[in-house]
Amino acid sequence: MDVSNLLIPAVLFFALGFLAQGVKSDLKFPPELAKALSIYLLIGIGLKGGIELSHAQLGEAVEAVIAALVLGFGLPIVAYVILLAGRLDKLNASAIAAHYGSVSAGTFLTAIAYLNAQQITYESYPVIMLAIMESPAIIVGLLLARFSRGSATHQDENARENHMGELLRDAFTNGSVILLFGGMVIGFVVKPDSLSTITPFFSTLFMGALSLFLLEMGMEAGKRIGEFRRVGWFLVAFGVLMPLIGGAAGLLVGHYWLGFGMGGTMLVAVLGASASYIAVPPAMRLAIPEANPSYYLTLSLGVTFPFNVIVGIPLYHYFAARLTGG
Amino acid sequence: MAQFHPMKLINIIANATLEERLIDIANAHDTSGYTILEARGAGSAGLQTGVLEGGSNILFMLIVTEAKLDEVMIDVEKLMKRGHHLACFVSDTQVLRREKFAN
Repeated sequence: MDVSNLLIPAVLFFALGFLAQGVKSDLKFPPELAKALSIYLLIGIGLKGGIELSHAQLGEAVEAVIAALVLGFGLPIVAYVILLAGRLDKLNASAIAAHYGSVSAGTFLTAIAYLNAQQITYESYPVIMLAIMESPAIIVGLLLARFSRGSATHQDENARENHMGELLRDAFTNGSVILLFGGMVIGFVVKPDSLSTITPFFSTLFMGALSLFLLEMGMEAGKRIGEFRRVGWFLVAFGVLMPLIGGAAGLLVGHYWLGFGMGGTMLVAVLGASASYIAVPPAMRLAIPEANPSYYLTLSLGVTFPFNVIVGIPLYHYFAARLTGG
Repeated sequence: MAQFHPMKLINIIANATLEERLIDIANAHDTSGYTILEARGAGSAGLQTGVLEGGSNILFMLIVTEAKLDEVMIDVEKLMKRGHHLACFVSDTQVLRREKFAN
């Protein structure tokens, strides 16, 4: 592994944000900026995926979708079992598990920046997988919670609130999914000439906006370090272990099942390894209110995200290269 | 001299995802209106920095007559019993033009 590969703007801006928080700098972002940037980034990546999909093979795309569903439904169950083995209560385990089956677009985009910097090509299908994997884990989390409530006193109230239909609607209509899929459909159907009018905004500026977003996420991650004691060292360790398990699953799926090259295999590993901090936390707040938000936000944003950006991405790259002989 | 009327001010600090539920409660009890402010802080749900949707709070403010206070509080308490992390506190207040607040 060559650490100098990490010297790319995306990673360095993330580190800068983390450092700014560490030295208690008075640097502040307007709170709405991160929300606005995440909307921009999700549309941008959706558009890019749609444009590339218009040249893709249907059979391969369907296969990638199935693989994404398998990862999205399977990983939360693995996470849940590990968390229960660590004696975490079932409702918190359900909520945390949902975060680890879902994905982080910020981590995925950092991985793309990493590949671009080294001129490594990659398949377009992982972008579709990113969009698909936002939702299944939310459903699994809710089902696990429903199953876990058992004798809990608020079982009736919360069970009534989480009808299956409503639950599915929430999982598939959450903002990230709408933006990713919407961007993808627009990128797919619009003719290249018309798309060129928005290319400067959504493509040329894209990596600059990602750097700003990661600067702020670095600060957010830094703020969560103070919460480590509250969540306990078992969960912090889980935040490092689970991406390794998810990453390994992604490597196997990307290489052996989907037959991707080094870049594509690494991106599937990143999908398996990353944990959501944009789409899933609000969904869990409503659906599993009994769970402690401090646990899942600290884990996905304060532990797993920095781990993946600094250690995970080069590690998945190394193993993807070993697997694919690249 | 201005004429003041006694009323109750309900303050609820909750995650932004609960905004619609709180509005539903206000509407269900036919209250005259509400005010929502974005809020940041820390508490039983951990750090709420206001940067990401899952970690953003709101301050939901509602002025009601004393007669209506109890029925609104019962619904707010139901949310708490479901496990939602929210803080609710009520204070005495005085308003000008009572008809603006008492439906």
